[in-house]
Amino acid sequence: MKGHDAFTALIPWYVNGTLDERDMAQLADHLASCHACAREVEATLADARAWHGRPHLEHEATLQGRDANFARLVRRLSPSQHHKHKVRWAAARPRNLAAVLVITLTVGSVWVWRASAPVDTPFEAMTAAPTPVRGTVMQVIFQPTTTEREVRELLLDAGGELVGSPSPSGVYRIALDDVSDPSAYAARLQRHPAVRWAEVERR
Amino acid sequence: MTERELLVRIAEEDDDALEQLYRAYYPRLARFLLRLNLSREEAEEVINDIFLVVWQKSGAFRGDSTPSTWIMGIAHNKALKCLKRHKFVEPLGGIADPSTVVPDPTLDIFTAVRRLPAKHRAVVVLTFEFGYSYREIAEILGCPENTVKTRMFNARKSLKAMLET
Repeated sequence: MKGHDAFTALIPWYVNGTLDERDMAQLADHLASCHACAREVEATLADARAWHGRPHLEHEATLQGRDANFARLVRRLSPSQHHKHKVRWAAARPRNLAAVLVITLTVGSVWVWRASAPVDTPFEAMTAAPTPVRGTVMQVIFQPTTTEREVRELLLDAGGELVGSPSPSGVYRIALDDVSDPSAYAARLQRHPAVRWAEVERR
Repeated sequence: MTERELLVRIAEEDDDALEQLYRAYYPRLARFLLRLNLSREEAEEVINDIFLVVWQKSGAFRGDSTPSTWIMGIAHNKALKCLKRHKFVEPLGGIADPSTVVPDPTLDIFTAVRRLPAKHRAVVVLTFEFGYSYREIAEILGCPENTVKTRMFNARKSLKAMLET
């Protein structure tokens, strides 16, 4: 059987409702006969009530920094750790290795196209017939320095997905489900640092 | 997807899973670290230190504890390290002697808790702000359950002395 002090020590967790059945039953028995502990329960309840409903003044401001802070974490993960892990991860899994190869080739093709074409070369038509898709489709050429991760982040941010493979000249097709003003969105994409050129696909 | 499943995927170096867990835990960790007296800038830096450990050590998570207590445990360790940098102004532990406390009727419970030693403050915050059991708090702090109860007992004694009217 526990002594008075052992029961008193349990009161904060009696108040927050996390005692297990055994502790709870023993403390309830004790409270029925101990006025000092009953008063302690009242005092702890009052403190717990005062505690709730008072957000920390800095909390909201800290929450607003979440995305920027995550970007800082990602930078800390790469290239020394993140990139090294990614390569090892890819090497360990054939299907992931295939995905990495496709991405490397496509980013590489953008780089080759960028290196061989003058900056003001007009966009050349794709050689293959585009895969039919529903919704808005953007045609995008990424900067030659754009990494696979940046492409993926941009797609996540836009809520879009790649359609098929990029054209031989490095034009990606991105399908977007929910875009109210495609032209404005294309203009926004155009301003993205990872994007060299973006336009709504005419169909 | 459960937090355990996310940790499994993070152990396989899936950075989408890392981002998902980061977003889920960010508000909770920010609240915890701010309540432990870290500044906003320190809290942001420590949150990233925590997730660096999560990224590196998730493969070692065996599921003996819950993901929540594991992550909060990392947070507590990182917070104490951060506070140690200010050890001349921030009492970390030891027994706060209630007899040396000067009562201040103008204090509210939040200000009073901020004046507790950090190890006592952590027990109070984890109990009343986050609703953890004393067993979970022992896991988070990496100490025996009786130590948690003793810290709470001393913290409440100091708080009563501070808030005495």
